[in-house]
Amino acid sequence: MKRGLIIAGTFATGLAIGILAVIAIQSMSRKNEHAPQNVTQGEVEQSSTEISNNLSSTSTVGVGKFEDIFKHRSITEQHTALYTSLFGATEPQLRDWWNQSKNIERASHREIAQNVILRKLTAINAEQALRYLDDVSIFRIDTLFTTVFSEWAVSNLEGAIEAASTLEGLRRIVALQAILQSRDDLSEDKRRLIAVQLNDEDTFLRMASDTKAAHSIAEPKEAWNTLLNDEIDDSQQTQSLAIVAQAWFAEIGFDVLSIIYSEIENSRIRADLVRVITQVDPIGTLDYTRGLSDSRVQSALSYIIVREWARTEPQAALAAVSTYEPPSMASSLASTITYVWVSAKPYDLIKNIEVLSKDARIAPLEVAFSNLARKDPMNAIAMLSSIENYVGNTSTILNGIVGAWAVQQPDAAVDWVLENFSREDPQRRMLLQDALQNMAVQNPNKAFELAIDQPAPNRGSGLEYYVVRKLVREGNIEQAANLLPRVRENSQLETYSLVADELVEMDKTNEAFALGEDLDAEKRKYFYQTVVQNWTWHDAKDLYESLEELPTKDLKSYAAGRLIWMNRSAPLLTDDQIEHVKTFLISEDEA
Amino acid sequence: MPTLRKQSSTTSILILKTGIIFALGLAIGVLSVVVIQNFYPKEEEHATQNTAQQRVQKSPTGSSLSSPLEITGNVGEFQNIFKHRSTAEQYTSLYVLLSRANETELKEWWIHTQNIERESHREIAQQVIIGNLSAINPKEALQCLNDVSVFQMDRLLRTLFSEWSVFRLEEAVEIATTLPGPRRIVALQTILETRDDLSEEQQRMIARQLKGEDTYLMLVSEAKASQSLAEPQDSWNTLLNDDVANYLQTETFLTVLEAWREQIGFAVLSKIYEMPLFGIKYDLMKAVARVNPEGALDYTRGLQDQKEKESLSREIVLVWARKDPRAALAASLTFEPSSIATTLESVVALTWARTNPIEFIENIESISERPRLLSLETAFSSIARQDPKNAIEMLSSVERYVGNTSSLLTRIVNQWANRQPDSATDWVLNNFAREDPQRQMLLRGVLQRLASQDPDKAFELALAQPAPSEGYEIEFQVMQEIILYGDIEVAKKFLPRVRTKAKQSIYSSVATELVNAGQNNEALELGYDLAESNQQMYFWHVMLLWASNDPTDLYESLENLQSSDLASLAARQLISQNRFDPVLTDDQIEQARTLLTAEDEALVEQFENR
Repeated sequence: MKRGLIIAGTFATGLAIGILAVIAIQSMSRKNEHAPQNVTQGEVEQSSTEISNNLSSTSTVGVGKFEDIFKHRSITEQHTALYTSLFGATEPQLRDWWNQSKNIERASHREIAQNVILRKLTAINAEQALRYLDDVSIFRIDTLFTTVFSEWAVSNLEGAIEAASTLEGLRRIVALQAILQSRDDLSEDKRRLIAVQLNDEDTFLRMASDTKAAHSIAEPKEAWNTLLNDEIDDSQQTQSLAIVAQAWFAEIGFDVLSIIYSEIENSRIRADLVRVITQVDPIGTLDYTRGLSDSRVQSALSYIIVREWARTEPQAALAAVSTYEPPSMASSLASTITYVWVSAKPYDLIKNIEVLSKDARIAPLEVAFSNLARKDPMNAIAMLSSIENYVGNTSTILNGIVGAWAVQQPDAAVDWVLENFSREDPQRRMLLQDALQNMAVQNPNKAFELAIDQPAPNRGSGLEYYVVRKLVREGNIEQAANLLPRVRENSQLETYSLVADELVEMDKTNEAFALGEDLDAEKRKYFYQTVVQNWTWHDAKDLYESLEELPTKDLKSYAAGRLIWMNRSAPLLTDDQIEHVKTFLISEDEA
Repeated sequence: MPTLRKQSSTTSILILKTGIIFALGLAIGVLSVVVIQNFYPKEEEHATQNTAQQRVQKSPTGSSLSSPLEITGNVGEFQNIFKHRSTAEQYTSLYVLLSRANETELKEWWIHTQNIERESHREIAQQVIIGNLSAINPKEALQCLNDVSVFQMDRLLRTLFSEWSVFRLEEAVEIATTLPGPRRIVALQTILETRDDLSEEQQRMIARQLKGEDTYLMLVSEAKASQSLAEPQDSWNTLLNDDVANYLQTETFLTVLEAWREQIGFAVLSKIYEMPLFGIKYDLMKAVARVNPEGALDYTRGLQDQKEKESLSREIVLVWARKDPRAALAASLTFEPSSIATTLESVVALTWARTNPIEFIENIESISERPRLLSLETAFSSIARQDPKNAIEMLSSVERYVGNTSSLLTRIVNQWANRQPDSATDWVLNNFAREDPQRQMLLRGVLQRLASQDPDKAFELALAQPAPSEGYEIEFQVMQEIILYGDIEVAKKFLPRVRTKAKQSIYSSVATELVNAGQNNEALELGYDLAESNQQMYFWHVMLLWASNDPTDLYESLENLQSSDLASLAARQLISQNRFDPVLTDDQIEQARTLLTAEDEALVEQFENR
């Protein structure tokens, strides 16, 4: 027995040592195979190279050697090379890579490189990766924030949430989005909690709604209702609504436009969605509206469509609307298209002005040249000769140029006019009319002096009328009133009336009447009538109550007539009140 | 000494036997470990016919996984890849593995991605597969996108076109032209961003080819704005003064604002306020306010310019009230001056009423008296859209807070009538006596809406109601609806039956439609149905419109007008109109003057001398 124990013991010892020896040897050989963190890059490359020899088109490169990576034309190969090269990189190495990436001149390459570097760095030291984002343009930062937080969320969720909570505004939203998107393995409750923790439950709800809509996109109507009936304001989901609208359009065609119109109350969102459908098929979209019986819907939709279409193909849009019914609508749509065209591409419109009918050319050309004049008025003036054959008279266009010029440089514009047009030239007067108004804003006295220096016309108002008008519109009533005594005789009635009108609007009817004392009797009569006329529309009831106080019987009768006439179209006074008003009529007005 | 020798021999044999037993144990120990390791593999190891045995190594994350650089696997076997927690390792594995795949294998990998349940993993896998496939056969890659949800489409389209545009730019552009509008724009954007090695002229040409010059201009503007972002004001001005419509660059404006806000805080709101940002101004204000409405509102408290203060604070509380109406209300009530505080309270109340009407009604006592009624109208209107009868029932709950609920009832009923004009009409007729003034008030709204569906019924019901002591008869609203949005022939049929007060205005409305449709003579004819005392104004209206719409036609019709008074009226309108819009020649104007009566001539002179 003793012998047996010795044999068994010896055998067991050998067995145990054999087992341990194998395990120990295997363990030692694993250590030798696995490159530790502080092994030099060369050793890493040596082991990586063996593998990368099997890779068809990529290779690992030295730290910061981006030229070797971007010698691959293929974006995919660039990514493969980057990921391979960065595999196993230490934090200091990744910092070097990052610093070198800032020197990559080509933006697209820099973005690819930085995206991969940050993803790798986040896996090692997320806080540091976040700090590196300070180096990045704010226009690219959202993309990189997403990269950082997607990685961070899987490696250290709590850390990622805590870091996101220190962010503000849009960045916190981006971080939260990235966390929720990459941690779609978590329960809904958990994800909601994260959103609540980051004080932005709306983002969670929006994403949940988008996901639900995406899952039911095979039934676009269902997806649509999901988005409309969720707890998120539609303005936060315009993009998703647009995607669903396009899917629905693929299913049911242009009827989706009527649905958009009837179910989206917010006009901005409605316009965005209609624009998206228009981008798919502008011709078909517009044709759909031709058949609509409700003119409100037809009008609302067609204007959005042509505005969008005009951005890319104004000439095609114009051709399409030329057959629109009714003709008034066709004309109005054409004007809309032209306006968009001229706003976006004034040069293009000028070059192609012949596509517009002759009677529709002047207005857009005025706008086009005014737009050009804002940047270079002299060039705009020089270009006028190129369109003379198409419009004949370019005087109104020149008015627009000088008008736009005068907004920015009124003195220069006025000087140019005075130098280039003689005193007797009627166009000088036309050009000064706008220019002096702009000058009046900055220097009312100089503008007024120049105005009264110009000869008064045989018919119509002198230029001083327009200077005073500008002051009134700018709210400078006092300055306007101070200039009135110097207004020339043939401009007095309308200029005084202008200031008086404003005073009536300000409920200062007594002051308005007082201005008339400067005028001769004949003008004063018409002046008072103008005041009363304006008073009628501004506050008929107040005029009614003040009838007794009007200075003359004729004026009272005139006022009574205005009240009766006005009341026919806008019955503010009762029948009894009208009867009382009639008692002020003198016999000729009564007739 | 034979005993010693015998003892020594025995010992040697014993040692030998012990050694043999020991060696046997050792060998069996070694062999058993090897056998166990080879015939009972660990969890991470695969032994398949087609794959080499993987060497198990510890990854940097500490788990026992294949190194991403050494990954191998059958087509579609994503589990090895997504066992790595780190997305960096997932990407590494995918890129390495798929770089060896041919087109057929990539397409098979693609098919298998449909089975990846976790969406984030599926997106990663699909992105890398599409990238690889695009480098080999981009048209096939494009076909694959038909399998993808439309919500994922843009992202993969970008991957595809960025790859495509580096190898076969012209082909990429050509294919992009065949895509529907929104996707074409995505493709264009991607091409331009990827091929930033091209000259501006080349990029612009591509943009033109893809009918997306706006997109090109936006990218150029954004790049320029990006370069000057150390001075956000400069970036801002770049965006304002470029050739791109502001509404297309809302996101870019917001990005600049974000940078600017970091520099100057909520003072950025004042910058927005100053700018001529037609169309997006208030969107930008709201976006800034959304970040921290309380902070934003506090900023506005210190502003000197009252208009600016009011404008900004309104937008802020509008945004705030959507999220936390109670907090927004509390903050509004402490605002100075009290005039703005009142405005803000109204804004909060209306927003609350719109976004959460039932909660708002339940909390109506927290709103001061002045804005209550209007905001309750909004709340009830909102409820009535879904359930008008319930809305009507709820009215009693607010009676003591507003006193008179008749305007609320009007809103409810009008909302009801928008969707079900018949039911709403019936309800009014059944619940209010003929003499009840509220019945009239309600019928004005419902019959107007009924008119678009059943004009005959609406008109008859309108006529059946007594004429009011003040204001127009109910048929006025009905007729306006028919004239403006319905059939003008139906409106003309009803005209003779329209009662007195409404007549003048309705005839003028019909005239407007007729003149706009070029039926000028018919418009004039209608005027003779009116009482003589009303004809003058009617004809004045017709001539004003006619002269404005088509002065040449009116001029040519002058001699055919029925009376000299009409001709004079027409001439007068032509002369005054021509001052603002000189379509007629001086000779034609002089000719028109000869038709003026003495009275009209005096009026014209008076006008011209002004």
